[in-house]
Amino acid sequence: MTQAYAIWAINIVLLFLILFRGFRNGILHLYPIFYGYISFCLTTSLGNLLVVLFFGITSPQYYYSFHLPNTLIPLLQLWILWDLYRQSVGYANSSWKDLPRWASLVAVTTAPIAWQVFSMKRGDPFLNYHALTLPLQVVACLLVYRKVYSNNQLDLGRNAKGILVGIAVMVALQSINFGRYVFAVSPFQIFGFFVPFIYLMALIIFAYALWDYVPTRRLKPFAEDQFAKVNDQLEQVLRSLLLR
Amino acid sequence: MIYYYIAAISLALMLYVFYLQVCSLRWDEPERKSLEQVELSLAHILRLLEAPDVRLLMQHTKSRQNLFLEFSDFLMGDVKTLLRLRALRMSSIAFVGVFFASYYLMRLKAKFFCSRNDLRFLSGLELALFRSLQ
Repeated sequence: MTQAYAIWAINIVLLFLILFRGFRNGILHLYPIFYGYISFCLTTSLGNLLVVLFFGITSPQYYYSFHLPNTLIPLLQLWILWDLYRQSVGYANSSWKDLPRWASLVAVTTAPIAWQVFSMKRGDPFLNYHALTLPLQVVACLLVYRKVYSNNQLDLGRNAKGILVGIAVMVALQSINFGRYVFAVSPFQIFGFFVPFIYLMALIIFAYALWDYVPTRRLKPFAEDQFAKVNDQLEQVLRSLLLR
Repeated sequence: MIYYYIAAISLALMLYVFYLQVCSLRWDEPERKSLEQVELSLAHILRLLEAPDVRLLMQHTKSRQNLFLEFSDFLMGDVKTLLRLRALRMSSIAFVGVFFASYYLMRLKAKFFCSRNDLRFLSGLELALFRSLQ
C-alpha cells in the first residue's frame, strides 16, 4: 500500500498545479464547476491528511472523513458533464428538453446494476454506492460525448476536450475497478492501488489539457443553400481527383 | 455477470473516446507538404474532408458510404506504400496493427451503416502513423 500512499501525495501536488495554472491562465471563471470540483478534491484531501495525522489511518474518523465527502463526487462530475454539454450546445432552453430523455436512458441502462447492489446483503455501503454511480456516470459520459461531437461546427479546444477525456478515463476505469472489487470480489490491495492510480491518470490529463488557454471555437456556419446543388457529378469529380 | 456488463459499457466509452480523439487529429500546412512529398493520398483526403461541399455530401448516407469505401482504399494503399518503402519503425508497428484492424472493421461496418466520422477516423489513424515515423 506504500505505492498507493505515494500516488495520493502526487495527486495532491497535481491538484495544486491544476488550480495554480487555471489561476495563472485566468480561466477559473470559464469552467467554474470543474475548478470547484478540483478545489473540493484538494480541500478534502488536505482535510483527510490532517485526520490521518491526528487519528491514524485505521481510525473510524478517517473512514468517515474519507467516504462522506466522496459521496458528492459523482454528483459534481455529472454537473461538470452537464456544464460542458450546455457550453457546447449553447445555453438555449432546448438543452433542458434533453434532460428527461437522457435521465430515463441512464436509469434504464444502470437498472440491472442497481438491482444487484440493492439485493446484495454484504459489503461496504460507500463502495456499493460508487459501484452503482460510476456506471451511471459512464453512460452519462457516452451521451454527452455523442451530443457534443455530433456538432461539426464546433471545435472544442484543448481545455474542454481534456476535461471530457479526463472524466471519461476516470469514470470508465474506476467503474471497472469498483465493479471488479464489489461484484467479482478481487483482492483489496489491487483495488486500493488502482483507485489513486486511475485518479492520477485523469489528473495528468487535466493538467496537460489545462496547462494553457485553448478555448472552444465555433466554426463559421457555411451556407447550406450555397452547396445545395451537390449531386453525383461532384462525387465523381472528387473520386477522379484521387485517381492517379 | 454484472461485472462483465459494467466492463462492457466502460470499454465502449473508452473505445468511443479513442475514436473521437483520432477523428479530431489536426494537421497543418508543413505537415501537409511533407505528406505530399511522400505522395500519400492522405494529404488530398484531409483537404477534401475540410471542404464545405464534401461536408454536405457526407450528410447523405449513400454518398457517405461510397466516399468511404472509395477513399479508404486509397488510405490502405498509402499504408502499403509505407510498408513497401520499409519506412516503418518499431514505434509505428502498433499504429499499423490498429490501422489494419480498424480498416477491415470499418469497411465491414460501412456496408450496414457508415458514420460521418469514419473516414476522418481512418485518416486520423494514418496521420498518427505518419507522425510516429517523423
